[in-house]
Amino acid sequence: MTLTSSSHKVNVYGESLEAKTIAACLAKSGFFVGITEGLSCDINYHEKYLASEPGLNQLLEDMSAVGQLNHYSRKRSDANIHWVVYKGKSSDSLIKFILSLVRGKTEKQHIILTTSLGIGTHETIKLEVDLLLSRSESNERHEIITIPTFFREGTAISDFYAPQLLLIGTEEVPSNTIVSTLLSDTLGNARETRFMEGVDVEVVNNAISAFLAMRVSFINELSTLLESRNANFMSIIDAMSCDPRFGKNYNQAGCGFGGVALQEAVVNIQNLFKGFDSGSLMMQATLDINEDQKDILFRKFWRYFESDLSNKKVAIWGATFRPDTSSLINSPAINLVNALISESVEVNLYDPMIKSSKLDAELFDGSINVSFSKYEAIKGVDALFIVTDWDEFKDVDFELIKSNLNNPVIFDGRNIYEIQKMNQVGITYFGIGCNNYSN
Amino acid sequence: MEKIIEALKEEAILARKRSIKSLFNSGADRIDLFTAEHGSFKIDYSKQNISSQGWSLLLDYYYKSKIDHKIHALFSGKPVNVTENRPALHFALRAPKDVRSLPKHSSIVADVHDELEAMALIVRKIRKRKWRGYSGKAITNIVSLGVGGSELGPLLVCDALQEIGSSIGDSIKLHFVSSMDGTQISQLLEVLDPERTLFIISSKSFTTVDTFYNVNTALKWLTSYSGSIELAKNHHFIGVSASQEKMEAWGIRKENQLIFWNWVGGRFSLWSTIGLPIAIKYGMDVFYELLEGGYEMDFHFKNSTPESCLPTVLALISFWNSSFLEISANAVLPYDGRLKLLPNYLSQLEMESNGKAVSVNGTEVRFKTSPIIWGELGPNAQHAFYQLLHQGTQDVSCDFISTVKRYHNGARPDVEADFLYQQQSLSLANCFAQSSVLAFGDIFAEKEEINPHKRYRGNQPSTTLLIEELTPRILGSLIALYEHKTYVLSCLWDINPFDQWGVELGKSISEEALRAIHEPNYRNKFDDSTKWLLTQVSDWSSKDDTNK
Repeated sequence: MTLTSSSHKVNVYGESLEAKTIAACLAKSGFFVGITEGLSCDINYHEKYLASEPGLNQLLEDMSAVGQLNHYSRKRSDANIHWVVYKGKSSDSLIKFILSLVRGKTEKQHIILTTSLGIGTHETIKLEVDLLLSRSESNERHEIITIPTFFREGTAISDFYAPQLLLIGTEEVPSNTIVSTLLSDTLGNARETRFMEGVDVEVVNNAISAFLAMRVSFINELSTLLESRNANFMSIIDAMSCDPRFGKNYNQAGCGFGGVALQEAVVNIQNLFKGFDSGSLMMQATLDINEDQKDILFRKFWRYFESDLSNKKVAIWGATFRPDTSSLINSPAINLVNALISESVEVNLYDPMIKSSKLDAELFDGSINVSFSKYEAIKGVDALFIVTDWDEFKDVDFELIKSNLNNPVIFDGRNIYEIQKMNQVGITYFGIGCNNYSN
Repeated sequence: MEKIIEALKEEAILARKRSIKSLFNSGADRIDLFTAEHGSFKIDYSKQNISSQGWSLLLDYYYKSKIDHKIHALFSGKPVNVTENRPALHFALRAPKDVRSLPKHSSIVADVHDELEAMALIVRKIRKRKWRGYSGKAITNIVSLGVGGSELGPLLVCDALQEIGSSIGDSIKLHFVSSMDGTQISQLLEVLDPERTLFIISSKSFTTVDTFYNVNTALKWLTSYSGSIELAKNHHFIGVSASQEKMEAWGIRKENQLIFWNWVGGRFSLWSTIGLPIAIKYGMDVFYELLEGGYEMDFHFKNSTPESCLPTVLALISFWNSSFLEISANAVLPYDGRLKLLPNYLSQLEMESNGKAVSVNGTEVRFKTSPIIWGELGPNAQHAFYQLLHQGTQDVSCDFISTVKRYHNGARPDVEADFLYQQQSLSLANCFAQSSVLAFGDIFAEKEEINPHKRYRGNQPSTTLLIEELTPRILGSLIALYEHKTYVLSCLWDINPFDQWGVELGKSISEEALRAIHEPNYRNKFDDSTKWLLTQVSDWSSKDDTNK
């Protein structure tokens, strides 16, 4: 297949970091890229998050300036290559959208899908597109390719050109696919590339995330055990990390993972097992342990006050499921707040996202106090909880914390402080995997 | 009155000589006379050995005995429990909030609803997994400690509603422990996680020995983990009792106390806070539906003529069988696995209420009173004691009970739905076939049998109760139906159904026996038989000790 990239037009649909990165990089490779808002769906990506991606905004501006990249508010009909980045949850609306791209087209259309929908999505879409084709006059088969996100936040652009692993889900011979043209630079630089059937790519992608979730749950389970034995969890994990077979990533114990990616991958793999033996015991345990882990900070608090929580007031720092997002989806903060208010504990919540009012704190239904600064939140409270490891919590004035707290105790769900430091300052400190009192 | 009794006795002599079959051949429309229905219930009592004359005599007896006055006395809060000088107001437990309270007991409906709300708070906390044990972990196991009325009602309802949707399923498991020997509790404690286990102590007096021996074992177990009795009591024990003082004294935390009242008899108490396990398992909405169903039956009972009143019809039949035909056994035979515990429940309800020989004013009752009530799931009993029913020498009256609508059209989406529906039809077919053979013997058999071992004599009377379907509301009505049947029966016999003095003496003697087990000196006051038994215990125990 020979195409001159300069004459070739690509449509990218979506407004997420992925969509913007793909659009900018393809434009830089010489394609004429139209970026169009895709399907309306909930995107929890904050603009700041896009802006903080190194070099991305600059590249987008440059490409627009030279005319390689254009923003369209509606679908552009003169392109035959469509890259759809869908972050929503409805496979029905995705199918509808894709059918609208190929309906009435007599020329071969190339659809590239980047989605986190369940395993089988690629197959379903392919069948629907073929079905539409069988009812039309045309006998030009359209091409459907699934490419999972292959770049990470923070290094999106360099990852795009030289990813660790590029997975391409297609039923075609590699050289026949549009990808060989579209991503020719990337294909040359990727450390590993695999062309596989669409469904296999989906399995690989979900199984990797599900494995990482499982790893987190294992670390969390281990931390609970070691804590109960008064063992030094941190040094044990550190030593384990030194073995290259074990590795250094996803080793942090915490108060449970939130967000969508890990959770959905686990559920997708679980669904894959439906009707097979007793389902996936691993995935069920992963989810069970994670749900239990989200309760762990509250239990430490309960035991610290010997279950007498009357007239207690606390502060929570961080509500989002991780830093640099405004999303509260599956965040452990939700579990913590619910547990506290059902015991009539008064809660002050501070999250950096509150300042920009991007946080959907209505989730808590007015049952808590929202604070606009971290120090304001802790004034006169009986305990401080840390749920999200935002940078601004790592660099704090401990003396100031201690003097503000009614009772100097911190329950840290992300292990961001060092116990020795806490001991020096005279703050009682509970992390995940450590339960040490200051004296 | 005497005349009616004489006439009934003569009618009974005739009845003993005739066959049930002959009643069907007499030309009268038995179906018209001997079936009744209300709401979701239909009763066929045409297979009872009763003629139309006999039936009108029974109704005469009903009117002459002024049963309607006695029903009024119950509902107006008169002290119908004469030996304990108090009313029996269990029906008030299921009265809607806006019902006018009884004049003498002005606030009881409001009190009942206050307590239901207190129960709702506890139920919500547990179901939302916000009830925490001493270590802060959410409770996942509930153990109900209670015996008799404190256990049977909740157990029956929890089992009967197993197919409805609102169950907590496996996320919170419910266990019942009643027996005073350690069998149940020791097995449970082995598998339960103390950090996640909550005990409900259900005892009207809050002193029931059986229950408190189990409580002591449970508390010891929990404390060995929690390290503190106070933590264990505060977070792992709920009390349900009529004695707030006793709960207080034992150390049940104020917010963990649920009360009911002296005017609720144990065997009538599932409608009160004793029903807590039901509400935990299925939610308050279901519990309220159960209460509504009971209330509907109260309304029917108060406002129907005796011949159309289901509880009264069942009572008159039982009265006839027991007191005139002197049939001393009554088998309860449900053809619905969800009602497996109903025979047990009714054994207690009827036998503890009406197993008495002394009338309200203290004189001997002139009739045979409550029959021996026992039973089992009909389909299973067909492979057990039905042999005796069909070919034995004892007269037994049977109560067949079956639900009709089950696994019907689209009630279940599963592939096996059609097959389940066929199982339901098979169950109904068996129910009807058995009552037919019991009544008529082998006359409907295809070929005549001459081998005496294979003959069926027939003539065993039965009633069949058809229930439209088993919803919480209909189950509530069903239980109230039997409560009122029991009350009407007690009125016919003129006995007090609300006391149970017959279970007391054994309790106090057992205290002495307990002492005599350990201290030989105390054995002398016992009879020779009991003395010998007591000695055997110490014999074996001392052998045990020397072996060690």
